[in-house]
Amino acid sequence: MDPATAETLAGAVETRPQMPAPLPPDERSAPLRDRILAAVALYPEPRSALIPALRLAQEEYGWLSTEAFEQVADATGFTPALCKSVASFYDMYRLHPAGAHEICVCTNISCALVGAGETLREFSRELGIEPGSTTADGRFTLRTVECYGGCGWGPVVSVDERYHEPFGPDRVRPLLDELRGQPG
Amino acid sequence: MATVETNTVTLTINGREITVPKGFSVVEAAAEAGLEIPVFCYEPRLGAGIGACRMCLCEIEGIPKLQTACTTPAADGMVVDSHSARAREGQDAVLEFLLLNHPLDCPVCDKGGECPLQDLTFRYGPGVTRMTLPKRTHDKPIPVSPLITLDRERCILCWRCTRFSEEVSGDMQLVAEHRGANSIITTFEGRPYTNEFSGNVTELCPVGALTSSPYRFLARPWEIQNIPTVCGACAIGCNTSATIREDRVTRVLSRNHPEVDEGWLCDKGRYAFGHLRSPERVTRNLIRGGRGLEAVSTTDVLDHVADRLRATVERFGPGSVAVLASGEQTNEEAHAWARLLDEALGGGVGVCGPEGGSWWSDLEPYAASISDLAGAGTIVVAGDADLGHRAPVLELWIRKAVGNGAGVFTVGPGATRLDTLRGATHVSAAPGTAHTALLEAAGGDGAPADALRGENAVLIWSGPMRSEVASVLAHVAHTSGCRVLRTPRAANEIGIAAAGLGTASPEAALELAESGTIKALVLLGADPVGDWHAGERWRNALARCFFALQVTGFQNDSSGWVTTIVPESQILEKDGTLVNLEGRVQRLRAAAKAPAGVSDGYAWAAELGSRLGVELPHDPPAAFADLAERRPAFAGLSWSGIGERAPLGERAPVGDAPAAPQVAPAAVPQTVVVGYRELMSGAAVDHTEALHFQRRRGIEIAYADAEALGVATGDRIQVTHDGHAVTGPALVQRGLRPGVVRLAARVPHVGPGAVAAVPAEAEDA
Repeated sequence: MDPATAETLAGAVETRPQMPAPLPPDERSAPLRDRILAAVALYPEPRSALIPALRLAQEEYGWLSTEAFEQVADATGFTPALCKSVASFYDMYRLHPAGAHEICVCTNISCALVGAGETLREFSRELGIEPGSTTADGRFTLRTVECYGGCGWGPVVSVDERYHEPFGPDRVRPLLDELRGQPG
Repeated sequence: MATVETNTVTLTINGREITVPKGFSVVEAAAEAGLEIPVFCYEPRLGAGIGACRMCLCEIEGIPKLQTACTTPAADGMVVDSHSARAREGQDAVLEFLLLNHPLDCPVCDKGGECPLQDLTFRYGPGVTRMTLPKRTHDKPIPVSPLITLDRERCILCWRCTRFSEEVSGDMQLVAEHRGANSIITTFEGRPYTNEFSGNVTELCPVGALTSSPYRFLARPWEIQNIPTVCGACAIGCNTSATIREDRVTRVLSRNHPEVDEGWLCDKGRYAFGHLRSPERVTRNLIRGGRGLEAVSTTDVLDHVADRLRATVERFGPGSVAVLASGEQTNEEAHAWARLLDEALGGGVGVCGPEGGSWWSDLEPYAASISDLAGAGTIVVAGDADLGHRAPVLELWIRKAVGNGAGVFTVGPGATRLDTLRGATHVSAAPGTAHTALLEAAGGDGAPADALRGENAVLIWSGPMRSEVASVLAHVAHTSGCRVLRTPRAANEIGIAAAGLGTASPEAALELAESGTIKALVLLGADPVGDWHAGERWRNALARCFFALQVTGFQNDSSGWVTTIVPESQILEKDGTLVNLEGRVQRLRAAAKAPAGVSDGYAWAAELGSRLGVELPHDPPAAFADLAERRPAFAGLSWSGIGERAPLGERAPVGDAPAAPQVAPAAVPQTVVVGYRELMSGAAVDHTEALHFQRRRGIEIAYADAEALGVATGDRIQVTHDGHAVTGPALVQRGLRPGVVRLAARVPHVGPGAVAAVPAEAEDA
């Protein structure tokens, strides 16, 4: 039986759109526009592809600039305004250039109850910047974010999009030392 | 829209039993019964409710929590209470929350006095605020465009404007950014909101957040008068209401006629009233004498014109006068001039518009109404121009029909906004051959032919009409059974022709003038030199005339070649009737006083009549009665019977099969230049500066051609066509047919041309 037409337990016939063949292995080297078009082809609604398309643009440029929004809009057939409207809703899209390392501290209620504020203050003091800004050398960006879904192991800190949990203030210094030791 | 509901539900709202069609929300059911449930975000024209503002909270028996009435479908046996203590408590709390950050600036807010938020605050909510913290503030006011001002702190985030932008006009330029309490309404990086329907958001906004910039701080609702009239910017005839303060038009609002405009208005219709008080308006009677144009009194100019017209007929015989109308005159004015021609000037010819002719009228038996679009199974739009430039609100009807499942076919060179609609099928045709492609498609057995033969198919021709095109449309309509929605260029072309002033096409009139048969030309609002086809030939014809009179609002390219200029009253200053593109006769009501020195167009013609020995009815109502008696198209109609929302008359029966269309095969040159008349053109827009940003700049060029030339969007290119060269920024269009170059032009044209890139250095030099 065609895997796209599977009979469910209830007896209904569920049809799913045929998925196109996976991208060729050198997808990262394809121009951004082609990669976005490949993403659009995965969805029955072009609008559904906005999130991955913005993601691809952010991977390309590090953040979503005016030009990035214009390119996403051109490739998806939407307007830059709509693209930015979507991107600005979510925490993981960067609307401003970020430092080499992005540190995000969850300050939503579960994390706040177990000391996210302490962790945040410690980062702030160690880096010498306010949350929401980037160090003068461009190495670190410190941000607060809303819930990451790791409420059982708070406080949750995401460093370069990897979760670290639970992340008390005592872990701030060792982490920064480790990151500072890395090249770049 | 007009689907017959066989299923109904019966529910109880506030103790009243109500039966409504299935699918109605509780808010709609309440409205049907005349019960009010307070709302901010709910607006029927934007589609189903979204429950954003929470103001419509109601208690529903069996559901423990309060429900938003706009998102709850009415169900059988449902018992709803919108006045119970719990419902009131919920509504009061929502209103208190809505007002948390809303400034108390009603005394300086333009919406004050006509503000739903203000009105509901008087009736709901605690009356006092418990908010002691500083309110959220924003930079203000923010110009969303030269026409719209945004005061962000007044916004209650109901999403009406963004829903309009996304779902109704589809421009997706006005959006919300960020989230929750930080949400703001904005355009992309503060760029101006350039959509020709943008002004509608100022009417949709239930608070004073989005307001009309030209109306800012001009008037208070208790100082104004709203005059119901219709728009004369295009042939749709959207119903409008002109706000008058001290005899001046200060704004134009939509006046929902559900069969014509559904309450939408384009920015040209909404804002072009600015030309009424332009300092450049012609307000004096001018006669060309030895020392150029000299101002004379109205009596003198009437004597002069009557004398010259009489002299023309005496010297050159009857039928030597031609009246060229711009197409924006009322039926009564046209009737007066038609009678003058017939009874005092021995015939002569009348032209009903720059593209005038009997062709649109010939399609009368197949004419569709605008609301046919709502129930259309298929809509076929054929022609070289974007329909949005010719009859903008039709595009909103088509968008809505597509949302309801209608199929769309576009036939033309491509890259119109309709091509991008969901499920739209584009049939590429070289410019000037859309009718051939249509004939071929309709005669074949492909999808377009099936669609046209299907139920409720509507065919729209978007472009200048020619006899060849008209014969194709009549043939297609007759053989496939579809209806044709006509799109004449000027507001009242159909009416003027029906009133007897459409006896010749512009081309035929020009030939008569060139051959010397026509020796006097009367230009009613018309600018044949600048705005009509073959402008140079018209200029020569005017120069060779024995007498040339121009009745005009503004001096234009023709003014230098006429002997007499008389100021013309504009649409918003006239009483009368207009016939829209469906054939609907609508009332025009004089809203504003014309500037001093400007006589009413009808009264002036009637005065001229008495000097020429023709006793014309003394005012437009009497003229309309006279018209109804003399002209079959108006038979049975009465001035008072038209009403504020005019009904559509009965359709003419479909007659015998029209003659088979004769289509001459057209050679398609390698590069075709299409000039189209953009929406934001014409004297009214030219003299309303706030609208100029809405003009589309750029020369559309197909992707393949742009690649071959090595140009990208924004690079300058030069188009040569018919001896003219135009330079402008390129606008690369992926959907445009290769070999086609399209640009806005005063006179629509299609012809061979060439396009070249302009080197950057050459531009600097």
